[in-house]
Amino acid sequence: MKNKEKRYLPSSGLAFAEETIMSRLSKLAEEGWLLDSFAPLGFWLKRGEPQRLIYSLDMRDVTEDERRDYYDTFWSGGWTPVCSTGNIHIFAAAAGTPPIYSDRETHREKYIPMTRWVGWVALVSILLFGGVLTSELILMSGAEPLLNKDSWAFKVGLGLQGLTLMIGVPCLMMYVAYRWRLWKNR
Amino acid sequence: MSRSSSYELEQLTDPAYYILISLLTPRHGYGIMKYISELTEDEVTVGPATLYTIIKKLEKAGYLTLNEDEEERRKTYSLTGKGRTMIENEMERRARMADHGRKAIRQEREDDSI
Repeated sequence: MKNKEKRYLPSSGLAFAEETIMSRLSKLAEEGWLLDSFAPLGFWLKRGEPQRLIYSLDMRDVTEDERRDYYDTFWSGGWTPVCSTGNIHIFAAAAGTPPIYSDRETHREKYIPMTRWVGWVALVSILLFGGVLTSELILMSGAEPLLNKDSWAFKVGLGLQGLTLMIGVPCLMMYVAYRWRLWKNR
Repeated sequence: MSRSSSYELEQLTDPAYYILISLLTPRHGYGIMKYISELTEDEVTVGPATLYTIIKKLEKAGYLTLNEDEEERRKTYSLTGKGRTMIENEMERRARMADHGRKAIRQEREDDSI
């Protein structure tokens, strides 16, 4: 399909490559592919006028009540809200517009709540993984183990381990990436 | 220094200082950014994300309040009494700091000429 109006752009993870993704979005805007919305593990782009845009990401918990005021502040600085998901917000502006953060301290603070959140999730997941694994090992040991590999409890345990790893590992990676960002901007 | 300690120490960061002095007259977000650029002849500009972050902190610390503006349907911010006192103290503190710098330079010149 040559004349398609929508396109999917996979994301390599905002925690790891925020700046690279933002400049990729700028390049695509020059080719007439404008950011439209968040998509699972990526973004939706839509066909539009080719233009020189810059994109910036902010992270903040904004209540419905505060949202208008929050967006208004960005409009005032020449930045258009493009899309938001949870506490992540992306804005676009004409090339040359002054950046959304004008000082290092507030820019650094942007990452603090997210760092804490993924840190906690990673910690809880890893503790849960460790807890399930230890209980299984204890229950399966000895001459007359209380748990064997065919029992449903073992399968539930295995499922739980898989789930905690699926959540815990990406969160741990994100935590390290955000910690690195905070250290770089200290 | 932790991120909130500058307020606990009753001192303002540079952008917080400019935001507070721009609110001697109540303004909305756009007004604050424009005023700071005009006042400082573009020497200081405050980005929207920085402005929003600092405004929320100053509001929490009780230095400014949000008012609903019925006519413009936009929220404006204005100084509280505590905010005004803060500006006065901060202006004096910063003036003293500049004086200290000048004094140090004077002393250095005098030492050189001996």
